Amino acid sequence: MSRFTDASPDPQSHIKTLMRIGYTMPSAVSDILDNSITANAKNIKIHSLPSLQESNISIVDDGDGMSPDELIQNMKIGCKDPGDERLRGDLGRFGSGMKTASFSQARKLTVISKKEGEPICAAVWDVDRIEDENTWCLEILDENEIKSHPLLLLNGQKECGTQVIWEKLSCLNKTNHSLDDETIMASNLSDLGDYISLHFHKFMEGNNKRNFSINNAQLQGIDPFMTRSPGYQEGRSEKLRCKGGYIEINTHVLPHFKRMETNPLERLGGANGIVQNQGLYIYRENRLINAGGWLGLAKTSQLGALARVEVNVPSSLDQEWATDVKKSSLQLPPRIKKELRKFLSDPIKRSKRVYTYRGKLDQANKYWNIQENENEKIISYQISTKNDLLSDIFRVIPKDQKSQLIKYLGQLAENLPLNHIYQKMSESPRDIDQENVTDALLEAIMSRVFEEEIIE
Amino acid sequence: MNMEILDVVVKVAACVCGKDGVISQVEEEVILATISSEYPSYSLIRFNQTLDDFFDDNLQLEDYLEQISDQNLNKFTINLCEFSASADGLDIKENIALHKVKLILGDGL
Repeated sequence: MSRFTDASPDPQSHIKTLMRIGYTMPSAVSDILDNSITANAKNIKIHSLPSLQESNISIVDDGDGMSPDELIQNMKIGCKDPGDERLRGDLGRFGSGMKTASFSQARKLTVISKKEGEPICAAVWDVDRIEDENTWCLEILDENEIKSHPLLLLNGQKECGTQVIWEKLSCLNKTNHSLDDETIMASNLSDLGDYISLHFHKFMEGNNKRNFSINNAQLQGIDPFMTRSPGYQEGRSEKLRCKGGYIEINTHVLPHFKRMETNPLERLGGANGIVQNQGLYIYRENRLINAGGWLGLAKTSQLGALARVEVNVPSSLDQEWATDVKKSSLQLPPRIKKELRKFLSDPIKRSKRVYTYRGKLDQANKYWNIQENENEKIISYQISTKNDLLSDIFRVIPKDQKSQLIKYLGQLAENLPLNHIYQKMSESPRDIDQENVTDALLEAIMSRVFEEEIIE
Repeated sequence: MNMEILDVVVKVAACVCGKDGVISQVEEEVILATISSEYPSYSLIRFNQTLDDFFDDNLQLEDYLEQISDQNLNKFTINLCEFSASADGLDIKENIALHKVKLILGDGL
């Protein structure tokens, strides 16, 4: 006869597993920001100022906040069923994000919250205590303890919202010879700012705009498609109906590097970043999940560097898209792969066209062409190959003389005295007389040939 | 025409086109255009609601087909499925589903 025994995980070991779920500091903070957005926060502030005590990070929002009961419920790991349907705009999924993200970066998590009509409340997960006592013991702070909390930023008297505090930071990852906390934190915060500006850029503009700041410095969104830059091309788009809404696919082609403004180019990682990050941009409820890469649907190439395919997916499809706890990766369902393939060739082809564009060719006269390349910002004057006289000469002269003539014409064009022409054209344009140069040239050639014959 | 039975017809077409959980824009447009040209009183709002319901239902193609008992609707349903599923290329799964519709509804034709 079989029997059952309690084999629930040991808290001491389980917490260590949860701490190594694979978050980076930016992806962990982003998970907290997801909760703030779901709670309708309009202002989300990240604070991590140097202090005499240990470094810490606070994320404060002015969202709906939580009642004491809701806070305790939400502090439990796996507080929500991943199979439950989420409302549109809800960026959560597993009910574990806040805790696992926090434990990956800090050994102490404090959440202070205030909901309208409810008292301010706070709860603390301390990994050291869980390990020491080998039990999931959640500390609940009383009102006086909350008010005297040294890191309290939420004004619980006046406003609703939530403050998440990370202390005993493990993300600083200090060793004997590493830099000091402040230097590491400054570098982390800089990366974090870029990450948030890119991954939440759709929340930084439009009617549903939210303000994000790090240490009171407002973050500006990074548009990975450079839709407002000159030379940007919008491509095909389509909507696929699915459970819970639509999957929207839009294709974009970035302007050529040379036409990109310096600031947006730098924010997208420079020319290298543009090449490496070509591909699919998958958004879940407007939050960027996958920033580039073709996910096996196409090959990364230099010529396809400017191609981007935007895919917007509702959270109702999480199961089909195999969204993970971190919400930082997903798998494309086979049908979507098939649909997406239809969209890849167009932006890649257009990217190649932008890349290989040699510029506009204008005929100045029968002898000269003007080539203007807007991408490279180059203008060149070239000898026209469509000149009848030149064609006739080429037809009658032998092969070795043809190559000599080509070489000569090439050098003639390369050595055009442009500076002199420019100077004289601007100073005394009327003095320039090109009408009789053919006679003068003939005369000079004849006399030179004559002299050579005499010498021989 | 009973609008509820037209909802079922739309769901049959959605079932054929949306075998993998998504219906393309072209397929959706063809379903709507075909049904509106035959039954002009079938509104866009009703159509959208029917497709939303379809994604929330757990019924199979056979379950919808069972609900169509009007012989006059059989040919229209087959045509609707054929036009819409082939609007952006008929793939293997869509083709199998279309054959099933033809087998079940085509008996009496």
